[in-house]
Amino acid sequence: MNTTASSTPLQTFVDLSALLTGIAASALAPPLDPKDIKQAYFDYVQREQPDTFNQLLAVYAANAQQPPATIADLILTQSDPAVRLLARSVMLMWLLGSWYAPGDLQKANAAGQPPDSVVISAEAYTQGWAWNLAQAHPMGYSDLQFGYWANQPPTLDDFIGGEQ
Amino acid sequence: MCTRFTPAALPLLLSMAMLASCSSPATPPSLRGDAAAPPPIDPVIATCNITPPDVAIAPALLTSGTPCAPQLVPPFDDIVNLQHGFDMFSWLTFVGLNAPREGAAPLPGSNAPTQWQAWREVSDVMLPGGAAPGGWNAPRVTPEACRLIPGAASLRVVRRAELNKGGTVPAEVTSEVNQPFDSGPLIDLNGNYVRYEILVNEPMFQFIVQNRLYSKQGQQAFNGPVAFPAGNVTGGSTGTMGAVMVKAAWKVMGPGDDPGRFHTVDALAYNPPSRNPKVAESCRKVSLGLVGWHAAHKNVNEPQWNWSTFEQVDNVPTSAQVKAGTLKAHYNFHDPSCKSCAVNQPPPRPWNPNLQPFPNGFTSQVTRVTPLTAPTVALNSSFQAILRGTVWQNYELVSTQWPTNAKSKTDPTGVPAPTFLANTTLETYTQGTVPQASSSCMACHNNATDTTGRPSDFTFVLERAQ
Repeated sequence: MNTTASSTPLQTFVDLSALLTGIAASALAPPLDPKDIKQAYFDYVQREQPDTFNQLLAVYAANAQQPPATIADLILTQSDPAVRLLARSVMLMWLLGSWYAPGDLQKANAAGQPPDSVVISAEAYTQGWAWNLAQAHPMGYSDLQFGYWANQPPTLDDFIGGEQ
Repeated sequence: MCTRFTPAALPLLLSMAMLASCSSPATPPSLRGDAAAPPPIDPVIATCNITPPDVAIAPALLTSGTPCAPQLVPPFDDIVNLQHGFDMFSWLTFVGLNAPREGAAPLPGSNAPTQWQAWREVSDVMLPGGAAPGGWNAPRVTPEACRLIPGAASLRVVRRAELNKGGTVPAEVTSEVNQPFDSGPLIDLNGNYVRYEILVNEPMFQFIVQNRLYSKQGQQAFNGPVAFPAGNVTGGSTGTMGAVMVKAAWKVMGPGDDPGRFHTVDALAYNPPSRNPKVAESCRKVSLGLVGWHAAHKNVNEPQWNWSTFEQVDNVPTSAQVKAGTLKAHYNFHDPSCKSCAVNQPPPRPWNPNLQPFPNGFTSQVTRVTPLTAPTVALNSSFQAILRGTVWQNYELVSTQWPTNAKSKTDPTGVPAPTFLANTTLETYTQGTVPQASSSCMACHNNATDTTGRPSDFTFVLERAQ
């Protein structure tokens, strides 16, 4: 994961996302990236939570040279509650391809109920990283070839290791 | 350039068929009646077109031949730059294969011979009963119904013979009117069905024949994975062509169509008998105009194949042009005067190609959902300029789909770019950007198998074996 200073807000978002998810930035956003889900996610958060998103990116950018655990602590425990919740929303977005609004996360946590969510797009549904972490695929969609279900899945490293 | 379906839908998928085709660098002796060793499946040739994508588009490119593989230049981490390289490969392929012979320029007139039209049509390879298809130069099979047309059978045989001697254009037989996954036929403004044909080039044909993959029995006996030969450049212009398939879409030339704007062919339009829908076998002689053209070429660095797709420029407007009201006076598959026509919807059933014009005046009202990119439009303009004065200036590249991560261990499609790609004449009703529902060449063909259920290397041709 890259904790050096990022050149653009989008790259800062990718590096921050790598830190939050533990998935290589080169896997989240490969150099050749026709799906470009990172841009879709960036635009979505920017539209939903512009001020808090900028705060979150600023916290990361200001501390990008710190060890990952230090940055995580700064974001997830020491930041403003809105920033902390948004960081969770970003994690869930990458993992599930869905948007869990920070306010809904807070309410659901207080009520002990599952939070509401919105699938960001059809493409996002297929790109949830939870499926890769499980070495599986979303219901109704698989890139693997006919008969794959009879074989061992690729390794976890293959799924989350980023560009080979 | 078709949609992809879940494994549960594969039985349906397996009943459909796709592509075929490309250029033959050498003409080995016929296998039929030849007791000698069979010809090499994919012989080494010295005529690979190795034009790099950063050259100026000049008339000399028209005689530069067919590429054996894409020629790419840095930066290799720039997707726009690489897309240009693959688009250049597509245009060189289009020019090379639409020439009458390797190294010649495409002929200017409408009804001119092309290399790919001399390839083997899939129905002449996957024969009834799993019969051996004969050699590369074996004549096409003329359906019985076509032979009943006075003079047609002899005409066809004569034309084939002339073709084999380097003569004129052969009469084609086109039997397919439906699009992948039964998504529906395309009906032109004269109410006629668009027809499709799939052809394979000689390396692909020889691979099928020499491995006896033309029959179910042969496929059951075949050991190991199906791996068609891959085009490659090994040094200079030396290399191998690899397997190429072409799928062509043709419209019946009729009122309102300017033959000077189309590549045309005299053909026998054959309708095989069908019980559902009930269709009587029939055959008629027609003049067809080329409206859509896919070429899929397997290459060493792109084992998912490279997928090029072209259209005739008068086919349809974009959805944005319709919304803006900036329409041309005439399209092949869009009536500018009809404001209430349902857009991109298949015709009502039943689909009986013997009933033409289509009943109740139905014509397809098609728009292009995803517009061409600016760089592709610019490249099209450059090639159309050097093709000025020929029918080929009226064709445009829609795009080229290629794998951005060909060696991915988790995505056998190689993460294609663009993610979705559709030709409005071949995937009319599956345009868009919805995974699993919208057209993607590689995502669809990644599901292809032979009749045993074994992955068939991105081609549905083998599932047609009997």
